[in-house]
Amino acid sequence: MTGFPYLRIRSLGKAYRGATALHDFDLDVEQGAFVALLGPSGCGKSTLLQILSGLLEPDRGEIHLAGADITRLPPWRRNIGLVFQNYALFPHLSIRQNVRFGLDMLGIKGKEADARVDEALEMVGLDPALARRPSELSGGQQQRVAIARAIAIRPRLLLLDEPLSNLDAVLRQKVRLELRQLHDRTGITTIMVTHDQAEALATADRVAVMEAGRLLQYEAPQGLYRNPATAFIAGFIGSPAANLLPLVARDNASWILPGGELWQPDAALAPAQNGVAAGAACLMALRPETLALGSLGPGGLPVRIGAIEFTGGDQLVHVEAGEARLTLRLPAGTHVAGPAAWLFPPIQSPLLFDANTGRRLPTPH
Amino acid sequence: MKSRFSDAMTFAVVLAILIFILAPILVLIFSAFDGGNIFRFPPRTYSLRWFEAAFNHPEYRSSLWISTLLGVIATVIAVSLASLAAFGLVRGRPRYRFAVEVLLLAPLTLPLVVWAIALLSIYAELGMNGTLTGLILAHVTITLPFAARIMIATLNEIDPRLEAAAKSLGATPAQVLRRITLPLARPGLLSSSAIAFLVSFNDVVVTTLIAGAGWITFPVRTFSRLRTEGIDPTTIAIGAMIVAFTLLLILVGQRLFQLSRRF
Repeated sequence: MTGFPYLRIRSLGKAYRGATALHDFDLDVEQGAFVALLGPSGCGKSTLLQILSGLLEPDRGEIHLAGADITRLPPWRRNIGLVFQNYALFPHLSIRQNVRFGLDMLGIKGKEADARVDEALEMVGLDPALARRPSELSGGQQQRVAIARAIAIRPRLLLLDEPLSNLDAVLRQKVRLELRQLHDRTGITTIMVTHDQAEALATADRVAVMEAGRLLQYEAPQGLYRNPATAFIAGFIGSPAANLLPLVARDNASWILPGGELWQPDAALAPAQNGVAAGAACLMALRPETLALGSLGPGGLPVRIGAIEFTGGDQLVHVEAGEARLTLRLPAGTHVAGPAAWLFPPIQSPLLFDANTGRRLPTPH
Repeated sequence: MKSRFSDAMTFAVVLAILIFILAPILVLIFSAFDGGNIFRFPPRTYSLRWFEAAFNHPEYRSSLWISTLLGVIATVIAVSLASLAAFGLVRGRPRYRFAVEVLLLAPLTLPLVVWAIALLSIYAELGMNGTLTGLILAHVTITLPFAARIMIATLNEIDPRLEAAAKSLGATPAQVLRRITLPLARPGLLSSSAIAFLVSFNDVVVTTLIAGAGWITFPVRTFSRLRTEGIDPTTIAIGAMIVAFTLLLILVGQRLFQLSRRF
């Protein structure tokens, strides 16, 4: 079985009452990896998680885990840990009994079970002596119990469903780091479902971006940021996400902005250099943190300055280019002179997408 | 000042309603301890003679036994059926769920006496009049709506994700039922059993028509004695005991299982 990935998902399909939730879905996960399934709500990521846990049966396709076909295996024989968004702690059991539940099912008893409950609780940073009911805990503590309960069975796979969405902003930052550290300590192959790109980029080794039941791109966070496969991903990744500027090539050297204004950019950004024929419509991804403002100069994009948001170390400057709205992230100290200015994208081959399909345009050499 | 006045008004209204509800019960209980030969209120002398008479009366004793047996059997059947129905309706979410729920509650909407007369003619065709089976089936039918209503509400409150979480931790469906669903449904099971038993135990209308002479229940015998012999102090003592027993059941149910929240 060499060369066979630890988790192998092939042509998985699922439809609910006619609506397709998953479409011909493939995914490979290496042992010990931390993968994020990222996408807007309704993209099929939660369906995929339910199918992996065995709670939902796929219409088509196969799932192999550690070399064995688990597609039709019932959930109680999969040994896959699942942490629900609402934690789903058993309200009639104490915290220790919750964590011990899976061990009871495995037939692990007595001292060994006690030791494993202690270990799991310590792993998530809870006091093993905590003698309380789940309802007496804060949301953050309940989540720790839910994770301890899932890892106590030493699962072959740990599934996390939107683990940070019920926590407040401050706790979210802390917990996402802890999730990563927990993964690094236990080495459990982990799949996390999230709709928050910052969460996915910060925690995962690889991010699977999903849209409408399909896998759009599966890559390490850095690659996803640098090389988004579609305009949808470019417009989704980053804080704030890339601006997608609609452009029509006027000739070899200039673009028409939305609203009809002309832009004559540096040669590296010109249509001819990027293989775009005159008359073709495309979207140019402009990362807010790579843009600069200046006074009149060759290659600048004419913009009007709008609102400015101060965010601490940075400021978000909103500008209008023709009828398009763009956002720049500039250091807080930068002086922004309005009302009109010139915007300068970095002089390098830009990220261009077909305006109709959203697909990345090939970079010519 | 205004809020203090409205608080006082609220209190007065609540007190009036409580007195109105409880007064007959108090009259019944006080009269049961009367030492006289006829029913009167307030009692003039106190004794336990009517309780003694009630317990020594063989007909009442056998009726009490019949009522209890009937109540227990009908409750066990009704609560089992109600739990299965609730499980199918709540967890299965069939398309016709609403229709089945309405059907399950339908006996509540009919005048019992009309329904019992119709049942009587059906039983006559089947030769089931006066049989224990016929009586049990009738009692299951009148208790089922109450039991079903409570069990549907109970199961609706149990998050299916708890069952899913248990499965992911290695519990088979039987283990999920035993370790998660049943413990969480226990308050509902107990309160629906209490209600079903009380409905069965208190029924006069259906039992009078269906039971015939062989299976005369406690309330039916009390009621018929009341009509033939007027107000017999023995029935007052029995009535007081039924009230005490019923109150005890409800109090226990209320205390332990928050019965009122489920119904």
